[in-house]
Amino acid sequence: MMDILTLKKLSVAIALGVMLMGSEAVTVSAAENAASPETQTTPIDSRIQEFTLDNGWKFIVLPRHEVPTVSFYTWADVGSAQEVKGITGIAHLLEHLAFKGTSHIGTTDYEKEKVALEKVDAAYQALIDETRKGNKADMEQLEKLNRDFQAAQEDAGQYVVPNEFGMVIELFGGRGLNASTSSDRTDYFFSLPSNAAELWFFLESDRFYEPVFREFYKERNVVTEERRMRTESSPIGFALEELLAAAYKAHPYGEPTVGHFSDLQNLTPQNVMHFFRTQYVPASMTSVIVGDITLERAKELAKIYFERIPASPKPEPTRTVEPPQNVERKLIFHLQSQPTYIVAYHKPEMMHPDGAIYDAISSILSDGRSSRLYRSLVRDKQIAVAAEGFSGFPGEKYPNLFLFYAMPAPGHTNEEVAQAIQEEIQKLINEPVSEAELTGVKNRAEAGMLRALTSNSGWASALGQYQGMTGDWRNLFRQLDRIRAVTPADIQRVARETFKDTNKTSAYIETLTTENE
Amino acid sequence: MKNLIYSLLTAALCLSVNSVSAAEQGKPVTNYKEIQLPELNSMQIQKPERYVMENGMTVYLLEDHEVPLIDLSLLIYTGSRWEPADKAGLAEIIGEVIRTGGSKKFPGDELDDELDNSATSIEIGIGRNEGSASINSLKHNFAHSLEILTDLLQNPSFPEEKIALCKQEIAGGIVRRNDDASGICSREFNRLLRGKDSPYGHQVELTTLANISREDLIQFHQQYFQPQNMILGVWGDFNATEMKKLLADTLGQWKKGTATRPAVPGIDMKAAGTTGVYLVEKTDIEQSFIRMGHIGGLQSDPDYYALILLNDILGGGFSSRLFCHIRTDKGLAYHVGSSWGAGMDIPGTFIVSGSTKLASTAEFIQAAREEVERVIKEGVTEEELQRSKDTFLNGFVFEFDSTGKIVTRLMAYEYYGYPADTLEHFQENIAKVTCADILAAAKKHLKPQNMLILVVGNPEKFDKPLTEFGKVTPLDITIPGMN
Repeated sequence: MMDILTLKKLSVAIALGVMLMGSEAVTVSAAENAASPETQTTPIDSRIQEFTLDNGWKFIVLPRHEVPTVSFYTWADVGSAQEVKGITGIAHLLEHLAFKGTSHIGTTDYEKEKVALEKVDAAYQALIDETRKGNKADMEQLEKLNRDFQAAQEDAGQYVVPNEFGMVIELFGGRGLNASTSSDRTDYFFSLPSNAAELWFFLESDRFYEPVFREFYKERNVVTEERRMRTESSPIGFALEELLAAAYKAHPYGEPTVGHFSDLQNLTPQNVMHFFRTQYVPASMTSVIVGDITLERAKELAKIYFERIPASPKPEPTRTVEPPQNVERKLIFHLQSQPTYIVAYHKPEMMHPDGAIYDAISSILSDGRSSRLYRSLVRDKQIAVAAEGFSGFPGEKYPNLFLFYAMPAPGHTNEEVAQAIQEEIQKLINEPVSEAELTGVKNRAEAGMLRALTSNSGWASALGQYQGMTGDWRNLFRQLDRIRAVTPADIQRVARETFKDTNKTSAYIETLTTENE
Repeated sequence: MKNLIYSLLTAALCLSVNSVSAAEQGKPVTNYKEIQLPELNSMQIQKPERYVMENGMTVYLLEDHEVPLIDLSLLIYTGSRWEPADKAGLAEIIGEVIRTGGSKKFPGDELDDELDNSATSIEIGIGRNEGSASINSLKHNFAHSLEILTDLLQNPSFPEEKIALCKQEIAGGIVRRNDDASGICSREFNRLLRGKDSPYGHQVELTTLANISREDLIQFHQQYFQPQNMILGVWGDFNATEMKKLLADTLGQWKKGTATRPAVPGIDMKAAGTTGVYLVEKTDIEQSFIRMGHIGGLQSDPDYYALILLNDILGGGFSSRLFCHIRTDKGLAYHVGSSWGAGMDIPGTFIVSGSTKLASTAEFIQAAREEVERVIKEGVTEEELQRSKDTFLNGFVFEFDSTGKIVTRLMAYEYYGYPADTLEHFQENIAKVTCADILAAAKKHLKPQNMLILVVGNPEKFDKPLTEFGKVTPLDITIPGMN
């Protein structure tokens, strides 16, 4: 059982993106956030306040004074979908570099360090120029340039206070420190004892005001290791990357958030600084503050710390629209792995009028032991040990994928589970779902929201994600109304429109045998 | 309790304050040391009510009226460490089938529908060291949920078809367990140090599943599921007086049994001494997954506080030595860290772990071992110690930020025989640790020359052969009974 759960979690983790540290930080999915309309009229809703600084940086504040702690959540409207060919992985690398400090944090003498860092970049450029000569490169010269580059890095390293940014947060008693990057956004979060709240205003504003990408080339290697771990040493990670590449021929959702290997090897500090200057503008940023702090104090500190960041126009949204697929795509893998079947269908973005219908379908198919896929494939037919279908892969901001997967039980095949999933899809199209099933969807959405909103950090991430994804945090509370409005006929219509062979990309992971090696 | 904790909370936050916070003058500070820390606002720390029902079941109750939810958690003195090795999987199956099979009054399939539709979760699970049951429910469903759980725990049907289904799901996990390199590494490391047939190392196999019968389930259940051997916690939106009555009418009606708490099996001392280098050859991965370490200690050990500080400095967080040197400085790994996994009632494991590209496997092992050797030789600096203490003490308030945390912590203390006030002494125990204590604890408890080293990777691409670190024993991870 444990192994299956691990695999399930693994696929979900990949769906959600990549983290600064491999930890169990929870990302609340939109479906889990579905809200109760009652909450709209409860006092807590009226306690949620918002303000926007002149430069465009938005703040949402929810005072909760029960426990003297505060949780912070920053949503940068910058994901790997903002990348173009050649710089894939840059949004995620930038997330890592955002922990390297600033001119005030992570250095013993920034003036000297700055000069040393310029020398590192010059030495790197010289090395790259010579390397690019290929066969004509002078080997001795290459070795010398490499030594120069190492020496320059060592020289700059003498001014570094390693990981001071994270260290200070730990020192002040911070908890839950992490960040994550997905195709849609990058988020940064931690909690502090409330008397240390000013520390967040200082650190968060400083890193987006004057970030210093020190130890750049080493962090690039760390991120490359992350790719090796998630994608190149994991059958499921590899298969999902290939599936996205097959399902998308135009839209950047087809590119891996962690980046292609060769791009990671070649990204420069100048690339990242340019990406930062154009993408991390205040108008793209939302910070949520929940806990033992007053609106007045939050506003005062926000002005002092964040107003120094200059305004700049928000970059153009991603312009590429994935064209209709119009052809069935099928991938067959032969890996050192037990069989797994994955199938994906294109569907609209989260805020499309049909958005909640897909959430309802996902809930009917996958939530709990009464879910249709578990009941049919695992419990009754006993041909799979796990089966689920969910919406929102790899993101939700743009049209994305509805993804099913099933792990065949020992002795059963991908073809069998593919067939059984197809039968469940036909059932969705041909027969209206029962009122009882729909009631269950609504009840679970309501309870799920109640549970997500019992902690400062749960509140902060839910408000930040709804503001970031939909442009208005109030949609958190409207989500349940949207789910409540779903009818059996809606589900049939959407299933019919979506689950067509010409809109389908499937992946068959088969066990490698000596014949097909 | 409230006053003690409160005064300690405020006393803990005494970072050096150099000047008046610049932000007080309307300007950003330029150094974190300028940030002023006002006194932490006081908080009401709730103390759960503890009592014992007539049938011997211990109960903790704590009201929390923020949202209309009620949570229940039940600890059961059982675990897979008490199942026979040749029937490994028995305890896990019992936990699952109590719920999926249900009882005569509440058949499992009907529960599936009812619970999902009312957004209620009732689960039973048995792990290595403890058994548990839980309810997560909306307030208005709680009484009915409790009635269900009470009946399931006392009168499980254990239908053959649900046992078979559960076995199939477990078998699905067994045949897939070698697909995940990181999972292989943690599993085999544990089995080497714990002894593969010992109560802490035995694992479920296709062959052990075949040995398990419905009779075994019934017998194990009768032996361990008795109210006097259970600790119950309930927290959420209820009135304590009414809850007591409700519990008395449900779980309280369960007749006291005669079983005493099972004795805790000791660890396999021979396996615990395993050292040397072990290799699982896997050719389809681009990283080596590495674990190094040895048997650790108990939380009740007087050196425990020195050791958790030591571990924090060595490989705990962002500013730890392993993170700074192996990840940040050398760029060798995304994941690297250490843990002093002190056990509650049996010794835990000291582990240094990480993953790195195949061509830096030996470099990683070497660098990690050097850090452990260095800490034994040199200890830690005053500055490192102060920083680590601040991390623990300044964040202490987070131990109290949810009702569930407060209740389940007390339940765990009681289950494993720790004093209820253990956490109340946490701050003084951390505060009094000195650098000399840490050096002494490091010398006594860490054994870098006797670390077991396990690597999952492709040795053809390693930077150096693993024989560099000792005799290499290849591990066969073939799954018994799989064709």
